[in-house]
Amino acid sequence: MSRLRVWTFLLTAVVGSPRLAGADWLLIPFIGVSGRTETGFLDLDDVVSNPHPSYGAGVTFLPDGMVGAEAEVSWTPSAFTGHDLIESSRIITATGGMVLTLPKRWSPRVRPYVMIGAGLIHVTSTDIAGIFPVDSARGVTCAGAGAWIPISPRLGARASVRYLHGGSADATNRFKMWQAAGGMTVQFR
Amino acid sequence: MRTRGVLVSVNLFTALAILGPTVASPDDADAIALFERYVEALRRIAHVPGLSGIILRDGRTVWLRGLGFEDLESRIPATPDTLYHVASLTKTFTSTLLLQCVERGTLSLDERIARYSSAIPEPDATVRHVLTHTSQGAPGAIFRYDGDRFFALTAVVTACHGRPFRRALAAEILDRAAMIDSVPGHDLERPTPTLAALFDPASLARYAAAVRRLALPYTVSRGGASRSDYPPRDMNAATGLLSNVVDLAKYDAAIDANVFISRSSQQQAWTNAISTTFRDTLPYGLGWFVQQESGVRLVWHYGQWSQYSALYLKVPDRRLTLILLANSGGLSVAFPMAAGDVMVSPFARTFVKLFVT
Repeated sequence: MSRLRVWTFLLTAVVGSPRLAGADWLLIPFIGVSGRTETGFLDLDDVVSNPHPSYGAGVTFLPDGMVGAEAEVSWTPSAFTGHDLIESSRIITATGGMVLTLPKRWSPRVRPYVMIGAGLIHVTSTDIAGIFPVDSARGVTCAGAGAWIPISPRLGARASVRYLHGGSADATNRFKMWQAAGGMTVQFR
Repeated sequence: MRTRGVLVSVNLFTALAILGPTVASPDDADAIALFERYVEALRRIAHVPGLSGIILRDGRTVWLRGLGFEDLESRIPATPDTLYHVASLTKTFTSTLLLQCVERGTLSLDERIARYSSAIPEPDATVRHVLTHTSQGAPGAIFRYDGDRFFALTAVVTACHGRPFRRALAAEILDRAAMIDSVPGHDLERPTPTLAALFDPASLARYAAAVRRLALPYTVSRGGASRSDYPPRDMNAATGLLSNVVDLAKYDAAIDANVFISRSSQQQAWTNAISTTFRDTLPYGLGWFVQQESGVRLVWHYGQWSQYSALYLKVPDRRLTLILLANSGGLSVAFPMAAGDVMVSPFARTFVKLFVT
């Protein structure tokens, strides 16, 4: 019940914002880097914690006030693949959450923000002999920060850093990942 | 007391597995190359500084290797001759010693263990119950792997063989299989007078020389493997043997040739115990784990100290054996093998998938 209350509050805060009419919707294709990743799965090629390119897209609702929302999907191909024993792998994340930003009237040219949220990760990995296949999804929480810079009425840029965490303290059931990303934005009001 | 020369000549065939060159059939060659790549990756993941391994097929060595280091700091490589504490692989030796007594009529497995030891509180528990890890609670009902209880079988072996456990082990198994590098207890490196009196000077000198090739012990921590103290140095029915993969290959060959006990007795050892209460099949036989994987019988045991670990996996119907010894707990410590499923070990899983199923 407490979780339902939290989401009800957040929804009310976003939808009921008096500055809704002045809100920006941002479409954000991005590229980035995932790193310092830990999973409970066998890392046969010893590469999962290395930096890997990530790609993704997000939608952010950024009102003129303080409280917004975002949803984001990212794809990290070859996260376990070092071209020795792992022939293909990927990590997909899908997250959503609440955005807190400075009111537009305080900082119209740069909109810094922090976010917290939750979502799912999906990990797949295939080794060359098919001994340790991985196809697993689990819940994660995430937190991050970033800044959006509107360049024109339609275009802007965004940079962000996020940390995703899931599972338990047990190393065999843990997921951690850092993501840094940047991308152009297309905004609508 | 037997001399070393006699030891080597006894059961010469048991040495064939290691005296001949490593032979891999064309069918095996690809699997072996792949197996070694997996084991090396798993060794790193499991924080095993040094590992020695052997695969035997039809009594021939098809893979024999040392990976990593027996002494990490001095960068001394692990080799097939490197000695390790084999921990609970010792239990398979105890099984053989007890079944020898049964064959000779000096023991019934259904005798009460209380006749030999006061360590088991259940008054109705028998030797068989302790040997099958079913002595707890209502004896025979449930399987609960317990090395401490297995210790009680030391007194049984001593009584039925009429000599101390280590002496029986050395005479009945180590010497007969020409396991000249194996040592029945780390404390034989510097034995007390009482202990030294069990063995002839030549054997004591051989044991002391072998212990010098013992891999240094490491424990697994989050950041990797760190140098550690040795595990307990004494020996009993549950643990304490030092050996290497070459000697264990001789042991394996001797088992397959029924040098120690009859084929019938060996099959009993490799037959799952049945719960007397629930009538379900338990994962342990007489001193060996027994399980079916894709319709193939696997008999196996693992060894686990925090400083050393071991895996001994046999596929009798395929005449196939894997032996791995390591100088950290990494082969076993992260995997719940005591529950009776060897496939939770990624090392065993790799072997089974590449060579068995």
